[in-house]
Amino acid sequence: MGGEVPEPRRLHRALSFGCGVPDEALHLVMGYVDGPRDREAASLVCRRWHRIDALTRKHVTVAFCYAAEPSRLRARFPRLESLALKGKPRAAMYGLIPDDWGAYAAPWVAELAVPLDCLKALHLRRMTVTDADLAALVRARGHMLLELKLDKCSGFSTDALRLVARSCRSLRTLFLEECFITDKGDEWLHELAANNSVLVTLNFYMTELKVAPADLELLAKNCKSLLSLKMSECDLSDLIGFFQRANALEDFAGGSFYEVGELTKYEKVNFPPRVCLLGLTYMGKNEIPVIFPFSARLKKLDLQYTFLTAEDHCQVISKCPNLFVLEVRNVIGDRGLVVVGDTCKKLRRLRIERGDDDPGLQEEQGGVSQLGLTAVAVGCRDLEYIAAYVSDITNGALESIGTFCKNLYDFRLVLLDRQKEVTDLPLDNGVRALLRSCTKLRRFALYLRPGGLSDMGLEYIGQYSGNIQYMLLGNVGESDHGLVRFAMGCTNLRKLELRSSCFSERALSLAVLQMPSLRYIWVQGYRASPTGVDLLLMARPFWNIEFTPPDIVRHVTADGELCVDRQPQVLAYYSLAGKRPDCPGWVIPLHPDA
Amino acid sequence: MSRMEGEGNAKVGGIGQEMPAAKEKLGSSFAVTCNLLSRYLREKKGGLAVSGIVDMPPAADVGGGAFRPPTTMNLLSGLEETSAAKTSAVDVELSLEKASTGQLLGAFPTENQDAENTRELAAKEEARQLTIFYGGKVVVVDNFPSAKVKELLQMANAGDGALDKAGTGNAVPQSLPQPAQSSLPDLPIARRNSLHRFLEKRKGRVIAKAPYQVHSSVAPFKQANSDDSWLGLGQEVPMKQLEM
Repeated sequence: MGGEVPEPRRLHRALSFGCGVPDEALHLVMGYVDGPRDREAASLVCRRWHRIDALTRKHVTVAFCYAAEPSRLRARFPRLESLALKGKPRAAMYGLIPDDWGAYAAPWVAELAVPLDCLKALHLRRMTVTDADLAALVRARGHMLLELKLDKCSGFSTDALRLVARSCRSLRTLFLEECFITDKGDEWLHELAANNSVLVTLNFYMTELKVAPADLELLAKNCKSLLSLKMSECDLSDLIGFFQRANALEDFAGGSFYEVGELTKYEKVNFPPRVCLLGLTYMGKNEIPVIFPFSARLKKLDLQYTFLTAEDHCQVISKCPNLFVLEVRNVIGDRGLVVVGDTCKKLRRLRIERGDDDPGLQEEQGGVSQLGLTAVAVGCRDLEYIAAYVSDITNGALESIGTFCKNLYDFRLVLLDRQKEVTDLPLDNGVRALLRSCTKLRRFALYLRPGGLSDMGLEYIGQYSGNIQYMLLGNVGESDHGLVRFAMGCTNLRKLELRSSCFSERALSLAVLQMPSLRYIWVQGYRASPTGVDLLLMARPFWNIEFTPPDIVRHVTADGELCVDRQPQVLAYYSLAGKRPDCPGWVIPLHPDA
Repeated sequence: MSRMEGEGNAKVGGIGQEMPAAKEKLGSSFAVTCNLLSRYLREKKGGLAVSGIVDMPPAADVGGGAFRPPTTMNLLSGLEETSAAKTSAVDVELSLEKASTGQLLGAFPTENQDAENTRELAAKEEARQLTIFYGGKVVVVDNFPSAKVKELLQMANAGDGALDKAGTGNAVPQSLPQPAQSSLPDLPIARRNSLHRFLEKRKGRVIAKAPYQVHSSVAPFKQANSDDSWLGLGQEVPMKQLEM
């Protein structure tokens, strides 16, 4: 077994029983235990520890909202101050999960908002949230709510935001990034600016909300502690007043350059003196100079939504030696990555997103390969996170990453399928080298092309993935045999996503039964049976299996084209809540009945 | 849990797993399912190898077995024959699949595998666990005497006609077109929603504002070396629906 598997945590019962540690002391000690895993272990020592953990637990993340019932959470952790809930599978962020899939916030808000009278922070991710839910939350907790994060959620309107703005006067964080919000006017921002004087973070980045620059100015005037504003599109020249007033601002993203090429219009844009985290939407070559005055102090730069070419990237990045986080599209090219490797010696996180695939565009030629990734690996030794869409990749490049980036915690690689020739497949040895070297890896994604990884390579992943808890694999392996051998190695894997693979339903089931820590699996693109009946082989107590059969008719789009997501999907997970009550008709819960 | 794992054992699992798929695919009746069951029992009695469970098969074999396009379809045609004793291509197919499954499973012994095996060998005639897959559900009966299986079969056979007529209105037609090669549809690599929207908007902006046309002397179709040309007008091909 490769990788370092953590020692099982051993807590001695003697501590709890024999030594007579008083409850008060245990309360105090427990207060210093923050890690959820440590808490989990402590709660299993004995009933007393379980009780004291429950009473002192301040934060809980429910990794999947159907894994437990809200009433159970309330009963166990009555003094919860902060709750995070995740809903739809990650695939929803890629348009692969229909809107009516579920993940409703309603039962949670209804059950928890009133009784959890210490609750100050709520974070919902990929969930369906209605105006009524938010109204109920505000009624019960509004006066003391400090943090409301609605992350990639949908189903509500600016009416609810207006209520939040009017009632939650202690709110420090309002986060709405990538939400689908029905826009009924911009009064919500005006209310927020008029009623709140303590806001620190406001995020409505990647939403379609239209706001008035005057309200932002008012916000900056009233909230002296505003550190972060990430917003929807709004011409940067209209934000000059806001920037003048927001003296504390460190983080800005969004805006827009509506008059591309009109630098004169943007020459007067002066960012506040402390801004060091930046993402400018629609920035083009001619507007680059707006960031030059402070580029040397930038710690984060998001260029994903800009019009820059590979050459422009080189120009910008060469002036940003202090970056910790860089987010770009693959238009950056290998040339740009060489500059990154030479310049950004402190880089911790690098994300290279996928740009346009349209043939003939220079963007495609700017794709990223083993050359760029190797340059980054050699140059940026502190990297903890790499996510990259590459056009080509070699075993050698993967090995280099393993050799130089020892602190890698999260590695995600997608091999695009546009380029005809890929230099060096399969990637078995490179993947093995990377996994062997990067022992801190906890998350790992490898999405290749057919032939990208043999059964042997897949087995290596299982064998050397000792500490990895989350994995996404696509187009890997050659047969069922590879999958099962892979699964035998995955002792600590908790969440697995598989896409576009050759495995049979039966092999999926067998694999699931091999992974002792697995609590969630999502699969699309496998050899499905018409009814998903072989999935029943993975049936066991508390294990929910939801099968979405292929449905060609239902998902024809308006233009008569077939949607991509009509491939059958499987979602299976441990749940204490039993079958979920709100399954849409097109999802079939599979269950063995005795 | 252990029950299901036990099920996954060698022969029991091998055949048991065939049944549901076949049943569902064809919408065949309970009787057919039970026929399979009886055939399985007969094979087992015939001492059809508990061997090979422990040995790993050559990888090629496993691959072959596992990758065969839905073996269940073949099984299906076999199911229609009441005479289970018939030796046919279907049976060969079946046992191959079974063998590979058994071997696959055999490679990962479950805790109770040994016990299970011993029991199988020692007490062929004794009562054992019966697993029935029917209507998408699994029924497990412990200590089911094998003699009773025949009764069960008769019962099921009697109901066969009625079932065929009455039930399974939504059954999949028997002439279900079998994909010649169940080749996997090529799933396009998905794109993040936020980037998808950005690229769409960019297209709109390029068309509406034509920013670089104004400031660049580069002809729209000129490529490379021009820093702006990737935004070039007219080169934009409408994004295909599938490229998400």
